[in-house]
Amino acid sequence: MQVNLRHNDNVIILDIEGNLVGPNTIALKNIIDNLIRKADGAPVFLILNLERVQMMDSSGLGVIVAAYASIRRDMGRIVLLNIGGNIRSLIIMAKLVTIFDRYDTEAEALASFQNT
Amino acid sequence: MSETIYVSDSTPSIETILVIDDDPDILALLEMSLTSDGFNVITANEGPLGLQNAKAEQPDLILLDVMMPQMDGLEVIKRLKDDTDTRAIPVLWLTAKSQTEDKLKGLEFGGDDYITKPFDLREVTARINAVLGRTRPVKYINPLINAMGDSFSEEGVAELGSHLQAAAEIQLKLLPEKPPTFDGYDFATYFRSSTSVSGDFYDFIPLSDKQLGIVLGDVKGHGIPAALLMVMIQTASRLLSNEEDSPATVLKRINTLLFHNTDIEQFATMVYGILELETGKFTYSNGGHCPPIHFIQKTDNSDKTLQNNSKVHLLETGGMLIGVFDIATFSYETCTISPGDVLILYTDGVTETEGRKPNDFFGEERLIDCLSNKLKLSADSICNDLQKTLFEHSGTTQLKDDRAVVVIKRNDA
Repeated sequence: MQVNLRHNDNVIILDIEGNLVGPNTIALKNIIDNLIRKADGAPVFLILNLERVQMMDSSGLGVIVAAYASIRRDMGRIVLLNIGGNIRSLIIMAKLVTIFDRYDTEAEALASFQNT
Repeated sequence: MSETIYVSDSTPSIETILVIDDDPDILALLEMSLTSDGFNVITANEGPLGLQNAKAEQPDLILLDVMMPQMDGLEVIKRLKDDTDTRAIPVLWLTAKSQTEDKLKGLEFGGDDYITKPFDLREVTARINAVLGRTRPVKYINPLINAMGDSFSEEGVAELGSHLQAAAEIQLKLLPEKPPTFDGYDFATYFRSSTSVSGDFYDFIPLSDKQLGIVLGDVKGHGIPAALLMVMIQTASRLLSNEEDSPATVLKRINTLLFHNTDIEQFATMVYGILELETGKFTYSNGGHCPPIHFIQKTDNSDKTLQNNSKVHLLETGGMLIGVFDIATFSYETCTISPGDVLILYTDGVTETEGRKPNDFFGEERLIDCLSNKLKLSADSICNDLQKTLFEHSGTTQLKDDRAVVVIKRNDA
C-alpha cells in the first residue's frame, strides 16, 4: 500500500494505492489519527481518493468509519473519491451510503467543501 | 504538491519467508520455488544482512544456513533470540548432510526444524508449512510477546498459549454443538477460524415449540478482541430475542449496547431472523451483513432466475452495521421458505476467499452458481461441497479470515 498526501487550500487529499485489508489498514489509521492530532481540535477537511484501491475489507471499513466519527467530532468533514466495485458494494451492504458523501471527480469533491 | 507519506511493498496477508544463505544459487532456487508456492520471499547472502532484514521485515519464518563466513548460523540465531523483535520468529535450519552435530546444536539453540542439503523443494515447502501450522496461532500474540519485553519467558508464552487455547474452547462451546433437528427441515453448519479464537459466530435460539431464532454474524477483526465482542453480542442476542418480537428491535438494541460500550472501530455485522417452523415464514433484519441467499424452487415474483429454474432472493432488508452509529435504524422483512427451498447465511470469509491469482475473490456470484447446482443435496452435503469448492478456489487450507456458514433446507413436502 502507498499513501500520498496533497493539499488544496485547507483540504487534505490522501491518494491511496493498494488494498485496504487486514493489518495493512493500520498504517492508514495512524496517518489519519496523526492528521487529526496535528489539527489540535481544528476541523479537518479530508478527501480519501480510493481510485487505486481494488479491495477493502471490514478492517478498512473500520478505519474509515472511525475517521468519519473523529473528524465529525471536530466539525470537520471526510468524503470518499472514486470508490470502485468492491468498496462501493461494501458500503452499500453496510448501509453506509447515507453517511458518506461520495464523488467521482476530484473537482466535485473539492467543490463540495466550498459550501461547508 | 504531493508527498508520499507511506509505502509498504509487501502484502501482509501473504506469509513472508526470509532465506539467509551465502550460496547465491541456493538463494535463487529457494526464492523461485517458494515464490511459486505463494510465499513472499526475502533473501540475505550473509548473517548481518539477514538480522537486519529479520528486524525490519518481520518475516513469518526464517530459513537459515548453518555454515556461513563472517557470521555463522549459530551466531545469527543467538542474536535473533536475544532481540525481542525477532525472538518469536520460527527458524528452519538449512544444513549439509555431514553436519549432524550442528543439527542437534542448532535445535538446541532454538531452531524449529532442519532440512538437510541437498534437499527436495517439495520437502522444504512441506516443512515450512508444518512449522507455520504450529506457529500461526501464536503469531498474532507476537505484539503481546513484544509488549511483555524483558518479562518474556518460555513459561509466560506457554501460559498465554494455554489461556488462548482455553478461550478458543470456551468460544467453541458457546456455538451450538450441532445444528437443531426439526421435522421438515434439514440444518447444517460450517465453522472455521483463521486463528484460535474467532470473530464469526452463529446461534440457534429456541423461542417456542414453533419458532426458532437464527443468528449469524461477524465481528470486525480477529483474535481475542473480536472474540470477546462476539461473546457479548451472542449473549445479548440470546437475551433480547426472548424479550423482543421483532428482529429489527433486537438489532436496534444490540446496536445501542455496542455503541455505548465499545470503541468506534469495533463493530459487527449480523443477521437475526425468526423461523416459523410450521409455515416456513422467516422474518429477519440484516445489520450491514452480506445478504443471506434464499434459493426459491417454485418460481414466483423474485429477483433472478438461475439455469435450473430456481430463483434467488437476497435478504438485504435491515440497517447499518452494528455498533457505530446511535442513529442507526433497522427494518425487517418476511419471506417464506417453501418446501424444497434452501436458505444460506454466511460470513464474508467465504466470498472473500482469494484465489490462486491475487485479487481473484470467490464472490457472491460464484457462491450462488456453486450452490444452485447443489440444492437437491442434503444440507450437510451442501456445506461439505462448498468447503471443497472454496479449497479448490484458494488452493490452500490456510484461512485468511474466519468462515461461518449456516444452511437451512426445507424438505420437499
